[in-house]
Amino acid sequence: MTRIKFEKRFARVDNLPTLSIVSNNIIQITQNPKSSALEVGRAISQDQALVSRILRMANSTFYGFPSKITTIAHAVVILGFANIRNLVLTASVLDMFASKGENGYFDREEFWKHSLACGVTSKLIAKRLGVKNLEEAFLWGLLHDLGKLVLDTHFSEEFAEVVRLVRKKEILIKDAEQEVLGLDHTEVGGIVADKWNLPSALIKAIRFHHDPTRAHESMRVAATVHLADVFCRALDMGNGGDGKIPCINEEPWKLLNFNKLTIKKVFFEMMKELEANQTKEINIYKRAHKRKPAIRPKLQSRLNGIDKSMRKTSL
Amino acid sequence: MSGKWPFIRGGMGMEIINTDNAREGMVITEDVLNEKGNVLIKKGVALTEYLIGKLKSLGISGVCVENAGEDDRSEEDDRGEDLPPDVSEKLIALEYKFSAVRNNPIMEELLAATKEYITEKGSSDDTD
Repeated sequence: MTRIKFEKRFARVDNLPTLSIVSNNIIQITQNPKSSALEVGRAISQDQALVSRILRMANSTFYGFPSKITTIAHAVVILGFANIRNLVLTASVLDMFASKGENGYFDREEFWKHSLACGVTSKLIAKRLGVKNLEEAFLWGLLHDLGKLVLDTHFSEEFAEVVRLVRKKEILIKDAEQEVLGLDHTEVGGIVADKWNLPSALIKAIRFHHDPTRAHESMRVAATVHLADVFCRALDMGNGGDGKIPCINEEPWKLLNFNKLTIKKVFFEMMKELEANQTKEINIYKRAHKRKPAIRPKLQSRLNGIDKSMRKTSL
Repeated sequence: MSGKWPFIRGGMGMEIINTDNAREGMVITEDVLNEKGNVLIKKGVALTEYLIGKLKSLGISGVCVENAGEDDRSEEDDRGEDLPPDVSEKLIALEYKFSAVRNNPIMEELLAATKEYITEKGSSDDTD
């Protein structure tokens, strides 16, 4: 498929994911400095499923807020607008792409493990850089592969072809995407993130995590996720759909100033943070949402044609 | 030695076998090295199905194993303690993963750090 052809289809597709009205509303309110905590709380309470997810995530160890948060009012006051907005965004994205389970030619469980590990690693790298809002850095890593979820959910036939090519040629998934679609998950994720008006740092993390120099003033953000992704691949933390490792670019490498010793130090920190909590945390992130739109049966029928051996993600 | 990769040497009490004929449980008697001279499998490690598969996927055509019926392990081991098999497997998988990005100094540093991490972690897990 040529790039132009796919881009046209991509632009035309009317079932591209959209944020819910409630989420959109919350994002608007939290961006307005004149809003009150009461207004934010009221907006979140419109969606009880969102309430429980936000509370679960706010109490998750990876966010690392010190005390237990039990009500939305408490959450808004303790966490602040920016963090609430991040939690709403994360919850919305996760709900939209709830676990696929048995259809996994693209293994969602491994994918979430990789995303989670990237979130934790981004946070650790950002901490070394002196970034203030580490929860946001967690989000950069957690959602950096948004484009893969969009492709897997909305262009499943094409994405199945991508995964097939990855295994046949033993190449990186982004290269296979370029070959099959003419664009890769960073572009797809960037387009969707842009459409949702996500925070600009997060858009840059999604769009440029394979090529941080193009993020210009947000290069530190993109470089953080770039390195986090490669570190997680080196240590086999989850799997984003391929078995190889991309090259670290020279400029971000110099910017972040790593060497063998500091890499090892971060590796030990990653393992410490992930080993203790991964199983519990992964359930928060991958759990299927009860109100999922009925896209699954369609996907299943498309998948039936795929060779069984292709469904298992190896390496 | 011809200088052809993989670098393996034959010796007393051992034989070089084709990787296709390798079987689970066979004990490696000479370190298997990659083209850079890094150790992929240390001598003394017993082959597993996973390791054999990895050797094949890396294009390593032959390995030195103990001769059947002969016990020649008295040979002095000057490389210190053997690595646990799961650590060896991880190191092999790592070589495969990095195979397309060799010759890049940044990636070589990352690979070296990762290998050290896996080896150190492997031995600390052992003592736990």
